[in-house]
Amino acid sequence: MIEERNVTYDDASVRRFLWASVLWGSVGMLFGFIIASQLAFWQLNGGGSLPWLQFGRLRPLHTNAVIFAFVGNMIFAGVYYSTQRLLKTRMASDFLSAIHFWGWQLIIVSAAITLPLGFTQGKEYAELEWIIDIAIALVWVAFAVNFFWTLVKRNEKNLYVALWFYIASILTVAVLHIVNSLALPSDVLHSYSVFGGVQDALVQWWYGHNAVAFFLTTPVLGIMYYFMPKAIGKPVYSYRLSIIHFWSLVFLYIWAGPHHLLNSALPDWAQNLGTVFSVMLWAPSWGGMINGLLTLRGAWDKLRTDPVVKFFAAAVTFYGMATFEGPMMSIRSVNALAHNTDWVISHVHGGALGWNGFMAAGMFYWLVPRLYRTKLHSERLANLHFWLGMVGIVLYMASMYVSGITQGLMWRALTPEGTLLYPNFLESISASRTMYMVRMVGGLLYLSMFLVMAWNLIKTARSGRAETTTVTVSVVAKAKGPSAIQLLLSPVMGLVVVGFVLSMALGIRSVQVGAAVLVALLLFAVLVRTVRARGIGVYDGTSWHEVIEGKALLFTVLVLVAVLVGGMVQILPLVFSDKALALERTATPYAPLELAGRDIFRREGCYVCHTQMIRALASESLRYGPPSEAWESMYDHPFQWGSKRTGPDLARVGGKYPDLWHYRHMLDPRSTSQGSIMPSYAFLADTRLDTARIPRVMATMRKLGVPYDAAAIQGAVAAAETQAAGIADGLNKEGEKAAPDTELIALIAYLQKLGKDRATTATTATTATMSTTSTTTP
Amino acid sequence: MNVLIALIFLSVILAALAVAFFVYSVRNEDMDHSLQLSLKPLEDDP
Repeated sequence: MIEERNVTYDDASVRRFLWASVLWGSVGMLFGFIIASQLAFWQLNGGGSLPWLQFGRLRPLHTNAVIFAFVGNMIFAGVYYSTQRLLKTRMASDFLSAIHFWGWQLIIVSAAITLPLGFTQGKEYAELEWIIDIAIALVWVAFAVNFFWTLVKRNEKNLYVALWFYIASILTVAVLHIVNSLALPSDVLHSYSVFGGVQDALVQWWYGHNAVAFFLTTPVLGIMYYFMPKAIGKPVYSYRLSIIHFWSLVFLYIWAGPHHLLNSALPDWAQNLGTVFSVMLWAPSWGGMINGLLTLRGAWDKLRTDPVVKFFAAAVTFYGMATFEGPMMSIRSVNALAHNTDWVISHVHGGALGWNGFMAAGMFYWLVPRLYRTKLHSERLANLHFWLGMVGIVLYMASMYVSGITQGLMWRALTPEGTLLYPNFLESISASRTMYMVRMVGGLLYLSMFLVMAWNLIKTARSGRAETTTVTVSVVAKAKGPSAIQLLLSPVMGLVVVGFVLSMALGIRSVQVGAAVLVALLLFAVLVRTVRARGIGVYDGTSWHEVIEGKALLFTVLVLVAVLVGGMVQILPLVFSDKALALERTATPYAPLELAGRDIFRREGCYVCHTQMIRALASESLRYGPPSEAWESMYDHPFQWGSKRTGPDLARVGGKYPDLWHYRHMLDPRSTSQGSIMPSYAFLADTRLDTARIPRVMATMRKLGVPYDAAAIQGAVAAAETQAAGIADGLNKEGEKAAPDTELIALIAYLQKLGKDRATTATTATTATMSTTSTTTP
Repeated sequence: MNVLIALIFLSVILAALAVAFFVYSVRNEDMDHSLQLSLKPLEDDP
């Protein structure tokens, strides 16, 4: 039986999210340009008196604004528009839609205020403090409830592929955000990650990598699967390929996080899992790219005439490039060269500017004329945006490839005698300065074209009218089909499980088992062919997968299982088993003043330029000392391993220089390190240290497992003051006028602690290396 | 180092097989089908 119903879509929410994305995109990219300029010209950091203008505080603002404000609002616009049309129904609740929109904008504004003020959890892309994290979780739940409620009241039986990607994104982002944000507050706007050291590193990069996967990729793939056929007027190239693309991508992606921690103190087995699954990701990613590009079959002429198609085709191409490069960079030897360098910056901007930015532009140019019942104001401007935006990306990426590979090669270059060819880290930064200027120009070009797009879209909207869309949809009465239990017990599901187990068994380190598994896989292929030939798992002419596409709850549960498997296998052993961590020794907890200094290090975002992880590579040992071990950071809540070196690694900086060197370096980095681009932190010498909060911080740390006893906490203020007085006295004897109660003294105390635990076991060779490098200026 | 040559050789063979299989698959139109569902985004929308 077919029933006709009138449906009025909620396009007001789509318009709101779209304009918010345009606004925040402009702001986020403006901050990107500002911090790129600061790297090219260190003088733009505010002269050591404007802490909120420093690179370390603005960089998190840039990344959060672009990821969560620009791309976030863009995907919400796409999801709200396409979900309603694919399900032939209005979003379930206007109230929840409003909560989602206004709540999300409030979170963005909170981020824009708190990050420059230095309120940060010190974890990349997860900097926002605990109270904002709770707000994010609540708003995300409102979005999820609204979305799944819409699935329930849909007027279309089957879920189109775009919706599968939305389901996976909503579920996974919720899991990632909640787990990685687990923190113990010490204050209204201050907290400490419940995970420490290597555990925190693993959880953070499980989150960080999958924020890229399930926030910047899978929802945008859903948008690709909906808007690209719309723009071209042809269906997606292969629906079957989209099924393979979807399931393999969501299953594999979640495992790849440890590729951010290669050659680090993370246990080898976890690193290897990260590499293997990253390389496997190549296949589904390219399956998706091919599916997107081949959708253009028979319509390639539109590439010349339609700016929307141009943006989409270029975006998908950038997706292909980034997903080729990502697995390649996850191979240990390539990673050894690329990691911590500007190569990674190039890689992520290929994704952000090319994939996300161009998909957003294509979608906006397609959507705005339709949302306002008019024509695009200027196709010529859209074409200009495309070409100059592309030039901007090329300048950005090429310059970062050049500087990144230069850095990687210089850091590892050895003389014939086996010593470092470039022992002074700053030589690699000096070699990159020209490229930083080129990057600045590329970024400015891209930002300018984004603003041109904004103007073009505003003119388009003003030439039309925002009207409500009402359509009449035909609703087919639900036919009784196989139950969820029947589908789960179907031979097809059995084949999925057996195939999965056999694939995993390939990882067993035994030639005999490997050979047996290969034979089993051959037999498995024969079995699959037989099942298909006999029509097993086909219900009234409908395939098993097509049937589950009509069962939203079952589909959602299966997606959740596919996503959670990887997380559980990787995360749980390391988080809940001390044995899996294999800690060889125990670190010494930070003294009260050092702990306060650590908070300042975190507040100023030092971790965005300095790592604290000496990788197990010969050149790193020569430069910094023996490789970092997991136990050394066991009391670090949060971990501060970092991921980028615009300055040298600090894991063993303690004792390498006298206090006086640090004091002068912080006041004016150029006075000790010729050619440094580090901002001045002179304001720390004038800022009084809040010693009253130290006992509270220590008590919080104690709850997290750091062995501070009651006496230590009680005497923390006195201990901090005594240590500070000692440092200040030493500095004053050297002719400085250092006040003991300032933040700079605490920061020096922290820096002088780094690596000290290990110093007692350092080898003679290392000592020799350190004395060699200490004559240079980082 | 000899094992590297063997590994590269094997990798090239595997890659060539994968490409050949993909070309075979495309020529047989394995992927080239549009279920009714793939037409969903194209349904009329004012």
